[in-house]
Amino acid sequence: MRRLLLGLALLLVPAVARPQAAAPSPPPAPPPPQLEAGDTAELERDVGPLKDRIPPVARHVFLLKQRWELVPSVAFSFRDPFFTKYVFELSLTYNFDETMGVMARAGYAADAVSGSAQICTTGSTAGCRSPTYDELNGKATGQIKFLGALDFQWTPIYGKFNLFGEWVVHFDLYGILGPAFLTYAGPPSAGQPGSSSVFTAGGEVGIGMRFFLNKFMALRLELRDDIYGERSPTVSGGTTVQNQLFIDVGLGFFFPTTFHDG
Amino acid sequence: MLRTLRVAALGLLLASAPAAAQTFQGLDTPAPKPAPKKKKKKSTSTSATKSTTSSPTATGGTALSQATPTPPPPAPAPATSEPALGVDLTQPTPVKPKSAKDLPMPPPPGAGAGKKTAPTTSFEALDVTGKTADRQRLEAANALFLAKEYDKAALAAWELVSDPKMAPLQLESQYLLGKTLYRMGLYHSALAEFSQILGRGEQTRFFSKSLEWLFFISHKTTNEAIILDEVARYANAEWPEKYRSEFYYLLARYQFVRGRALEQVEQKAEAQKSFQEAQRLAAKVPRGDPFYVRTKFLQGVIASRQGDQSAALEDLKEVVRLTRPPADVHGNEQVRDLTFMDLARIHYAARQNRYAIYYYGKIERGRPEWLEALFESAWANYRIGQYQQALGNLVTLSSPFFRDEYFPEALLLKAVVYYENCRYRESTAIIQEFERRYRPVYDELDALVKKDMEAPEYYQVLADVQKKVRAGKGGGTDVILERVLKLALTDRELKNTNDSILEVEKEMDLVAARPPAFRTSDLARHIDDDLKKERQELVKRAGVMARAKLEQELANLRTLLGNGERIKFETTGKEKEFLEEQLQAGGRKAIVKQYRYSVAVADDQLYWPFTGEYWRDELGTYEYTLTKGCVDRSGGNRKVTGAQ
Repeated sequence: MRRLLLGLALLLVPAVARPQAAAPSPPPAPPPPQLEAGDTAELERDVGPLKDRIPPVARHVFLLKQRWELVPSVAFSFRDPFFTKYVFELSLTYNFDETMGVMARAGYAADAVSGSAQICTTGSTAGCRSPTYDELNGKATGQIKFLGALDFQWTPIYGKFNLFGEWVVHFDLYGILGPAFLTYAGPPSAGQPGSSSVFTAGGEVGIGMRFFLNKFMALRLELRDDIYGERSPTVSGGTTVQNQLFIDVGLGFFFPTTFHDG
Repeated sequence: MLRTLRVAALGLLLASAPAAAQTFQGLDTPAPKPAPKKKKKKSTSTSATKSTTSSPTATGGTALSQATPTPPPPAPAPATSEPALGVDLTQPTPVKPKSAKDLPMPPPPGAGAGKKTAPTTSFEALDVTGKTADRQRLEAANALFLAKEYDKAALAAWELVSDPKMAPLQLESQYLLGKTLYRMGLYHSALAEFSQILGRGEQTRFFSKSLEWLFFISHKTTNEAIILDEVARYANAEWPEKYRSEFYYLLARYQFVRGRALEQVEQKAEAQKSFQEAQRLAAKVPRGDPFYVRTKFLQGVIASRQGDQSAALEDLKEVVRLTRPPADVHGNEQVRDLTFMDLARIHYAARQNRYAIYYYGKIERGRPEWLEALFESAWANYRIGQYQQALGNLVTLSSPFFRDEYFPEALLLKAVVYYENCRYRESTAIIQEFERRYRPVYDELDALVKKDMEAPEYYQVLADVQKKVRAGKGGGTDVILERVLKLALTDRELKNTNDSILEVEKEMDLVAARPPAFRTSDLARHIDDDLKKERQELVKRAGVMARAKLEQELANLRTLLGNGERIKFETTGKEKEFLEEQLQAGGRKAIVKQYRYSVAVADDQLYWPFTGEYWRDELGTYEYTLTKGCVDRSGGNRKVTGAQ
């Protein structure tokens, strides 16, 4: 849309140009067309046959193709009633081309009581309080210890935005999907205190963004959902499906550190 | 006695039947479905009646003579000698149709058809349809054509054409062959057949129909000019009314091309005559006709060539008015763009630079003329001191999208702009880059021209590069040759001829890819021979053009390299001057200073700093900010005064 406005503005420039006596005046510029917000037809027309001749972008400031990406990151979970997980992760991605890649990820989670679920009492000392870690240890769901995943990564969007009208920030947007592997603190064995470590497999799905800082570094933000089945700590037993939502912030380093485009 | 009379009546009926049976089955209009023989005859005669309204008739002829009281001028003679740029520059003389004996096939006999019919058996004589065996053979070929069995139809028609006993039906058979070849996509081969029919003279039956087929063919081929020679040859003929405007347009174009070629060889008076003739013919196309816009454009171009810029502007503005997108129903976008280019050039030549910039800006992004418009508009911007816009346009031209485009002068313009702003180091570096890039092209061109090869060999060099580039095998010196090719193909006439050669080659492949029964036939050999001859002729013509173009570009490049040297010399001189001043001032004098600049833009614009990445939708909108330049900005190396 901004380009359209710019184009229209440029069209109007000659209209206000100083008239010249020697030459007949050029025909007046046509009135700007009325466009609906989000109407891209005019933009497509403006691009014209270039659309078929040349790619949308050349001499990229950043390319992913055939580069490794190593990302140390920190993730934290949210919307979990019992535990907030702080996951220290390391992921390695290989990008086959500008849109496809495979990512392996491993992380250790430090759990803290989230405080969303409260223990409430009635009677003379009526009130609510957050449970202690020991009170939840092995008795509540979502107590993840280790986390790993093997994801397929698809990066369909590459773009840039104008920050404060001065700086241009380039970014891409990707989606991930793949199996996840976890260990969590489950109910202890019969007659044992505390909790027991349980391994399980599930899947994860998410979206992420990279903001390119230079030719080999990118700030990465990711939102993902780890879905897995967890043994229920309740008396009735069974399995409950867990949706653990994480926000991940990391710094990506790309190898090789240089690339060539055009 | 009664039986004899009946047979005679049937014979008479049959003798007159073919005239009514001329149809346009070869056209892209839906062909009538093959019907049983009796009904089919009825349906073809119906379509013949329909076509009579648009096909040439005696009435049509009268209309033409009324509309054009003065007889059309004599047509130029067919190009027999090697023409400059493929156009015959000899004195125009009316061309008489070739005599029958010059033609490859025997002419229709003067005697009545009945006298020379093939020997018939008594059984054939008793045929209730009353048709001779020959006629039946022709009708069988026609039926194959209607059944869309074109291979078989062509073979059958060819058999009739090449059979000396079929002399009375040869013309009709050849007409059928032409139509069939057209249907098979062998347009050049079809043109050869129709040309032969036309060569028999206006009095022959299929003359006017064949004229119409010329137009159909020109609509199918990439280069409509392939029929120009034929059109010019029969300029005095009675043209079908439906195509009369197109004929005037084509003939006017022919005269224009001829005039231009004459002008190039310094035959000014003859050139003027051609231009006047072109104007006269163009004026006959009525307003509202689909060819009016193109003709008007042609008139504008001719007027400009004749030096009447006011008339040219009026004609061209008329084209602009008529091709405004919602109103234009004839798809004249290309003409519209060319019109804007011409309007801009006329204003540029009159040093009305802002008007030129206005019209250059009218070429939409991505259109074929867009890059050229950007480049020329950069010069106009330079003239009025809008250096930032001039450099901005060059940023687009130097984007990787257009790496293979040929704009050698762009680097020189860039160097000049930097020189004007006292940026001598940059200017020198740009000139060095220019030499690094174009000196090898110059050397290659020079070597090519010095070889003094035959005309077709020049084309062959280009064709080889073309093939390598297409196969993706180019590299090393081929990269330079590829530039040479691009350079040569900037000539529109050469490009058109090159396209025609490729088309002829494609037709040869098409024949070779037909089923064995066709490709091993005499007809296939005949077509192949004709196509080879045509290709040879086109190659010869393209070779002449290629050589002329290469010589012209060599001269241009020599001038540009010379200009580069001059800029380098000037730059070095100025740099030396400043260094001396600097020494005298004890090193306290600066050559350049930082300019004050702002990135503020209008409310309806956004400022996007260029980071080296090219986005398609940004092309053409760049402005280059000169952050430093001459200490005395107003007293730079050039004062822009009085520029419009």
